[in-house]
Amino acid sequence: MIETNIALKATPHFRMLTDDQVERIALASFEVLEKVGFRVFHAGVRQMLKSAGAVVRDESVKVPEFIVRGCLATAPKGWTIYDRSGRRAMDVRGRKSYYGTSTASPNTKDALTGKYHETRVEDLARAAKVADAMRNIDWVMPFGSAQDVPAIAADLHEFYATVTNTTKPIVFLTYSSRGTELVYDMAAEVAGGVDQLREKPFLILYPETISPLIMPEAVADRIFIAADRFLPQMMGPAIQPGATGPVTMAGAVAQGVAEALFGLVVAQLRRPGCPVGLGCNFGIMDMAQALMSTGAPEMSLALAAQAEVAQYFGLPSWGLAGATDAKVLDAQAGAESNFHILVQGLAGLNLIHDVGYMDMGMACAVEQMVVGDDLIGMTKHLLKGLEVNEEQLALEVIERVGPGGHFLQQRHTTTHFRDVLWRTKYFTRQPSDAWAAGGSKNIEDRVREEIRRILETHQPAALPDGVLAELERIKTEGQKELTSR
Amino acid sequence: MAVQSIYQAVLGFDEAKVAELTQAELDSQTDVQEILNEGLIGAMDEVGQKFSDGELFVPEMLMAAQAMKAGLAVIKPFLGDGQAQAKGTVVIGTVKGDLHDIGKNLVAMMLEGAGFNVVDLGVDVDTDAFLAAAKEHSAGVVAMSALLTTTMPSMEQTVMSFKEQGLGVKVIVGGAPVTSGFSSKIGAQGYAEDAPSAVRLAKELMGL
Repeated sequence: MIETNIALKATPHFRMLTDDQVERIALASFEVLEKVGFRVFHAGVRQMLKSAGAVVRDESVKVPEFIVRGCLATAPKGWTIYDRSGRRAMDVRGRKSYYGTSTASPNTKDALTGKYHETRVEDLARAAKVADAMRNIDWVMPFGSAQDVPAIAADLHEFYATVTNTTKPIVFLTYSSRGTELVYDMAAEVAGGVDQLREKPFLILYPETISPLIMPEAVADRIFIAADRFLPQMMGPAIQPGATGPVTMAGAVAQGVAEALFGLVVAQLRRPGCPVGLGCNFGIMDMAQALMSTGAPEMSLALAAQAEVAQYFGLPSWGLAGATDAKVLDAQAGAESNFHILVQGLAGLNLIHDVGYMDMGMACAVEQMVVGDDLIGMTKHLLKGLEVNEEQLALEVIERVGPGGHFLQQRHTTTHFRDVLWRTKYFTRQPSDAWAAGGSKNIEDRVREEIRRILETHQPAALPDGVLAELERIKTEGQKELTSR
Repeated sequence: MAVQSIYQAVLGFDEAKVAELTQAELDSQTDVQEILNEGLIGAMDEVGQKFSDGELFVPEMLMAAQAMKAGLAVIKPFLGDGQAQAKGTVVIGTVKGDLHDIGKNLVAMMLEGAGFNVVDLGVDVDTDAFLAAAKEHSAGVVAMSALLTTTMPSMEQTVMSFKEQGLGVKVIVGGAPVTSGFSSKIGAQGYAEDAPSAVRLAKELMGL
């Protein structure tokens, strides 16, 4: 038998926008760039855009649509990202979703004690080690902004602590132009050379312009540095609707897309063909507190819409999920993180960061990241969808077992149950007596035990001694150079 | 009675109407202090109360503050020295190297709404500019904001300069990466974790 025109497997997904709405928002973002433009504090960028045909007056740069369309044509559609050892790790294109950690918080909720304190380099090293052991964390960011080293050189310490403790791909941010170059120097050491790094990139830069529509000089420099090396970068402006962008999500998304496209234009004009993603964050401002939430539902509304515009352009997209405004690992922490992990997976966002944020982005918490790993597992399991074919329909098995029988001793069950049934690592499914006998442990207790176990037993693949020594040298000399300026 | 309509216009966020009604009151010889206290400031007190009660939200409070300012501008020439700035002056800005200003703007607007005279120096403000403005405007409080960890050291520098100069100004700090620990470490007189607490802190430091 052969059957034609049939899909044996469909996967669940959702669309936030119609094709017409995507088109409208894309055109609106072109209009923002052409009519309002950016304020640019980098003379080189202004000069470059002027030569390309932009309207430049003082610091104001207005970019006509033809320039943007030209730059969209040269930007590669999707990236292949490798891990530290040069193995293919992420196919960042289409509707493929990869989840990564949070970053850049001044505080850390301690991995072992659960107490809040200022972020230290040691916290980043621990977090990278735990992330390395996670099944569903696909990539990492340095897990916080270290406060126990000079601020101007902290990026070197943060990258070192991360890259030496995990082989997973890294998305990173930096604190100076020179710091950015030095991180790339370290990455080249790890990859075995500048050319090898370009061929098999394992890191992605995350330059953040300021909303609304501001490009600081240092951010432009960073975009240039990544572009010159032909290494991937994901634009990271952050709009707070109602404060730094329109409160209505369509307008916020149009402005966000415009801001990301401006970064893309700067990179493409500098080096046509360099890899750039279309990213923008939406931090929902709580209008009673005037503080930014990382758990509000509107966040996924805007991010999913933005990702559909990115998909329309064929560019890698950026998400934000697995974060919570809660201070402890409670119901709020679970609900907020899971909501966005699921929705953004369904919407097919590519690189979804911030698994591990607590306290409204003010702290990274390993426990939140570890619970997030289980939640991502649930979402990935759902997103696989289900197959409808002879084997999966199992009509033969139903007939064999018949009325009143059971399926527990069927070969069909043992063949499939490990694949089709998801297993939790941290949620309790014990009967209550056994649970009480085991010390009535809640999720935080269980996660804490797992963190302790990983930190004691997990050994991330080590870098060769020669490479480590070289990284150490770049870090030490780099800090000397940066702090003496 | 007509002062009451100024009060209502502030609560209705109607800038033009507040200015127009205030001018009309001045023209009909209503006492300036009455316009100020019962009309403009009285309305902002109610707005503040409603904000605390969760009935009004940040954008509404800021709109009301803007409307109040329109009325204040009209009566300002008729107020005696010090009367218009009953709550003193705050000099505010983001520190050298930092262009992120939404938090600073929020604090500035809320301070104005609470009746402070606010001198907003904008973004990327160096120590000398903070010092000069504090002297020029006889500021009671200087408020500094940073979003980037790399610009936090310039906060410390500015705090030190204020001490060296022996100005009796209270320096307060804020911004996402700034903590109360950092604030005490650099010797600032106060730290606020959000805009409403910055207003409370300023009042406290000025003995209001």
